[in-house]
Parts: sequence; C-alpha cells; structure tokens
Amino acid sequence: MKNKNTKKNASATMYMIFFFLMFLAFSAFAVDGALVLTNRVKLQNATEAAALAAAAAFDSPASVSGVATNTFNILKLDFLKSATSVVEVNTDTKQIKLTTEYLSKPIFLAFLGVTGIKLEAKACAMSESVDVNAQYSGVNWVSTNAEYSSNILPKDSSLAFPLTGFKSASFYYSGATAEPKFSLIQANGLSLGPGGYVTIKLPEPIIDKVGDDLYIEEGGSAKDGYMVFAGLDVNPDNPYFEKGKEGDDVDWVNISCSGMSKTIGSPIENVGTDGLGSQDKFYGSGSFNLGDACTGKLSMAKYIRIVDDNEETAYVGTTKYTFPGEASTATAGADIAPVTVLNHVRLIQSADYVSPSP
Amino acid sequence: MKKIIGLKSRPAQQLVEFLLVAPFMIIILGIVMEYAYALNINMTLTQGLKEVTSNMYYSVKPNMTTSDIVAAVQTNLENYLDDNNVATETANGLSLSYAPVGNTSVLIASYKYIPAFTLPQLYFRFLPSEFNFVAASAVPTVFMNANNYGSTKTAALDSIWSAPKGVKSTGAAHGEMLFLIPTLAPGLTNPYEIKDWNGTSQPYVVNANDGKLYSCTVTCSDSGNMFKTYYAASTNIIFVHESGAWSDLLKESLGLASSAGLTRGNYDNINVSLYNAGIVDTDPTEQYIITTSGSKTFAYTSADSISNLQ
Repeated sequence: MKNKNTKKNASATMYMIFFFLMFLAFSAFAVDGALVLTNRVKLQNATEAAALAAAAAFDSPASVSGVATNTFNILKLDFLKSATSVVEVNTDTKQIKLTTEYLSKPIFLAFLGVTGIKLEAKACAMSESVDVNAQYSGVNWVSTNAEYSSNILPKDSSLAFPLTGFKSASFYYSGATAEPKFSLIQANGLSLGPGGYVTIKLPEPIIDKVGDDLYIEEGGSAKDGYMVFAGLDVNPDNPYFEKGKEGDDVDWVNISCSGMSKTIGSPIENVGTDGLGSQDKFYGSGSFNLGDACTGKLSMAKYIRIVDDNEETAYVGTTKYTFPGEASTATAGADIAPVTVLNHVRLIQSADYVSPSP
Repeated sequence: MKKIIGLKSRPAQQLVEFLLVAPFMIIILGIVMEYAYALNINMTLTQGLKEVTSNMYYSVKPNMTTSDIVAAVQTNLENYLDDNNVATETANGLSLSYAPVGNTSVLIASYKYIPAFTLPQLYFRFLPSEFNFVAASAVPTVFMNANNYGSTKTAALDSIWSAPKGVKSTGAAHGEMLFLIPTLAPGLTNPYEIKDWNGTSQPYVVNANDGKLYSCTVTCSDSGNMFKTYYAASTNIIFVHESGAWSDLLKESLGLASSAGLTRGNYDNINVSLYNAGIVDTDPTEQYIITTSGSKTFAYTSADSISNLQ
C-alpha cells in the first residue's frame, strides 16, 4: 500500500515536468522560427534594395557590381554581419542579379546542437526606358507596351477632337478667356496649340539619376520650340492643375535649359513670356536632366508640363526658320510624341533575368 | 474515514505540486511571450521602414530640406508603428538617421522595446531590461537632398501667355492679306488676279510690269489707281505666286503639304523674317522670299517681279 501511495504522490509533478519540457521545446521552435523569419525578411529587403541601387547605376556599367556589393555591405552591418553576396551583371540588357547568403544563429535550438540555419535571398533588377502612357481613349502617342501609366490631367477634354480638318478658331479660345488649349492629335504625337500646354502626372516620380532622366520626342519635320517644367505638389491628394479647380499648389521649375539635342546645335533659346518673365525654351527632341534645372538642382518631379513657345519658329535640320501662319495650321505648336522616362529602375522576376553571354 | 481522508489528500497534494511548478511555468511563458513580442516589433519596424521609404516620395514637398525629409519619414514610420500596435512613446526612443553612400543613402531606424513582464528580470535576469532594434533601408541619395523648387506656382504657368500669338480671335486680320495669282488679261504682260482671304476676286487686276490696277472685262482699262497706294491702308501682307490656283497659294502660305480639306485659320502678328514654303514643297522656285516695304510684307518667289508693287 505504501508503494502505491508513493507513486501517486509524484504523478502531478511528473506530468508537469513532461508537459513543461514539451511546451518549452515548442516555444523554442516558435521563437527561433520567428527569428529566422525576421532575418530572412531583412536579408531579402537588403538584397532587393542593393539590387535596385545597383540597377540605378547602369549609366556607368562598370560601377554596377561595386554599387551592389557596397550597398549590401552597408545594409547588413547591424544585423546580418556575416552575410555574403554574389553579383551578376548583364550590361547588354541592363539587368543585375544579386544572390546573398546568411547563417542565422538560433537562440534555443543551439541547445539541441543547431548552430545555424542557412538563409538565401535573391533579387533581380533592371534599368529601362519607359514611355509614359496617356491612357486616353483614342490617344495613340505612346507605345502600346508602356508600363508607366499616366494621367493627362483634365485639360485633355479637348483631345477628343477628330483628327481630320482644321480646328475652328474658337477651339483656341474658350469663351472670352484666351486660355491655351490643345490642338489636334497627330498620329505621332499630341500637337499643342500655339502657346498650348499639356500636363502629365507621373504615377511614380522621376528622380535625378546619373545621366538624363527624361526624353521628349518632338514630332514632325519642323522641330518646334517648347518649355519643359518639372513639378512637385504641396498636397498629393489635392494638387492644383486646372483653372477653376484650384487645390493646393504645385511648384514648377523650368528644366528646358538641361536639354540635349542630337540634331540641333543650339536648341536652347530664351524667350520672353507674358506671364513668367524670360524663360529658356528648347527646340525639337531632346533629353532632360532634373539635376541641371534652370534654377538649381531638382531631386525629383511628380509632374511634367510642356508649354509651346507661342512662336512660329522651328528648325528644319540644322536651320532655323520662321513660318508665318503656322499657328493657324492643323498641327500648330509643338507636337509631343512619347515622353519617355529614362533609367527607370524596377525589380524583375528571376525568370526574366537574362544571364550574360559568355 | 481514512479512505475519505486519503481521497481528499491526493488532489490537494497535486495542487501543491502544481503551485510549486506554476510560477516557473508562468515565468517561462512570460519570457517566451516577451521574446515573441519583441520579434514582432522587430519585424514590424523592418517592414515599416521599408514601406515608408518605398513611398517617401509621397511625403516630399517643394523646398524641403534634408532634415525636413528625415522628419517626414520618421513621422510616417511612427504612424505605421501606431497602426500596427507598436508603442511609440518617448521611452521607446524611436529615431531615424541616414548615411549617404554615393548615390545611395541608408536610412537607419532605431527602436527600444522595454519588456512589460519584469519578473524574470528581477529574479532571474532571463530577459534583458530592453531590446534595441535597428532596421535599415536604402533609398537614392537624391531623395534626401533639398529641393530647389522655388515659388513658381501653377497659376503662373497658366498665364504664361495672355494670348496665343499668330492667331487672332476675330476675322479682322483677314482683310489685311491679299493673294496675287497669275492670270490672263487682254493687253497686260504680267497680270495678277487679286483675291482676299476668302478667295473673293477684287474688282481690279494688277499688272506687275507697271504696278497699275486695271478693270478687265472684255478688255482691260487703267483704273487710275496704283496697287501700292490703293491697298496701302488695309493690307499688311501680300502673297504672290507665279503659278497655280488660289488654294495652292493659300496652302503654301500656310505651309501645308496638301490643300485637301483646306479651311481658313486666323492670322495675327505674323512675324515674317523668312518663309520657306519648301518645307513641304522642295522646289526652289517655290520657296518664298520675304521683304518688307513700308508697312507691307511681301512673300513671293524668285520667279515673281514685285518691284512695281512695292
């Protein structure tokens, strides 16, 4: 009887110890699992950030690999010190693949002899030129494979005008106001009226990367003049882009003076305006750099406004002409074909990465 | 009785045993929970910094300085942590710094988590008194740079032109133009039919050889008027062409490739220095020469003689 009683006395403690150890083991798994997961997320974040930073450096292809390694080394400093990285760069396709490894050390599982869990992360990124898509029914002024979606702000209500024939004079004037509006849409672009303008809201900002940031194609054989302004809003939820619907303001800077032309020797001229003093304007197609704006460096822009120079001058080849009456033609003003964001950087799927040819 | 007592004593004994073990279990449970919560905070901080830096352009406003941008990002990070039930009290010491490394800047967020379950600290030191977490994210350095947007507002761009040049809102400018089209007239050696903007023939024919205006029906008779004086008051620009129909001349004056669908536009403030119709018509003989005479501007080709019209 005594023995029987003794066994019963210790039963609760035994159960407790058993379940306690079980509980402790599961808890240890959970905590260590979460720790590994955290490190995996951090490793992936750092890998993606480093790949993107490197892709932004393709303007100088030789530096891409170094940028990836350096950026990753900085990002790993505090929590992934022993992580290693391997970089692969394809300068032809402007793609980069970054593979990283890290040995995550558990806390509790170490008691069971698990000294480390190997983590691996991979990120691919590329630099590309992307046409801004007007996304407007009937507007075909950008390539169909554009990934940048964009909104032409409500001024585009005039864009629905048919393509044939002249626009009547009243088109350029809305009632008593002498407000510039669009002229016709050409097959190769959007023809601004004399002094007309178009405002493009970019879904993602253009940032000042190494080299040029924006390319504007000016269509037609006669290369018209226009001004390019970069804009940044005070309140993204309520920007001011239309008369009569003034919201919080948008600040603008003329970036025309940063323009580079491949065909016109001196495409930049100064023109007096009625409302904004003297401004630089640009003739024909060209690339623009936010970092060389006319009044200081810009870091980024969310809006682009292109304003016709309101003059009947244009370049044909390398010769400048004046065309009296051009403003009364069907395609008066600068003819804006695709606006292209240069050096747009994005992550890509591993399957889309093309290894460099040996 | 013994049985009864014995039966009662066993559960009490188990309860005592449980009470002996329970504090340890609770402490261990607390430690595990604190570690788990700390890990959750660590992950939230990492994810939060990634999200706010990915969308930081949304917070960048004109003319911000670098410190303004850092402060805006920190505010966004605080909001993110608040939304995810992570305390952002002063004691948590949330701070944000950045280190530019070439074209890439690293934003580093620091956060201090103080465990709420203090018993293990007091007696067993199984828990640190605070967890210090660091998260980092990379952004382009230009994002951190001050903007130099100045103060040019949208309204200023809206009024950059008070009126489009080259276009007139009324038809008043039409009367200021004449088109001289070669024609045949009895007895005249170099006659031009005169048409207005609407294509309506004027009552006279001008003979470029003597600059006189003639009335022509069956024969032509001198009207006694000279072209340059008769049209001096009303005419500002005169287009002359050696051949072709009026619509061709109008087409070329507009710089169009085709007269199909030709409709009149409105002229105003024509700024003539050189007009080259060859942009659509490459025949050198059809390229215009622009001259001014008094208040009038002549656009003509090399085949035309306008000396007597000026």
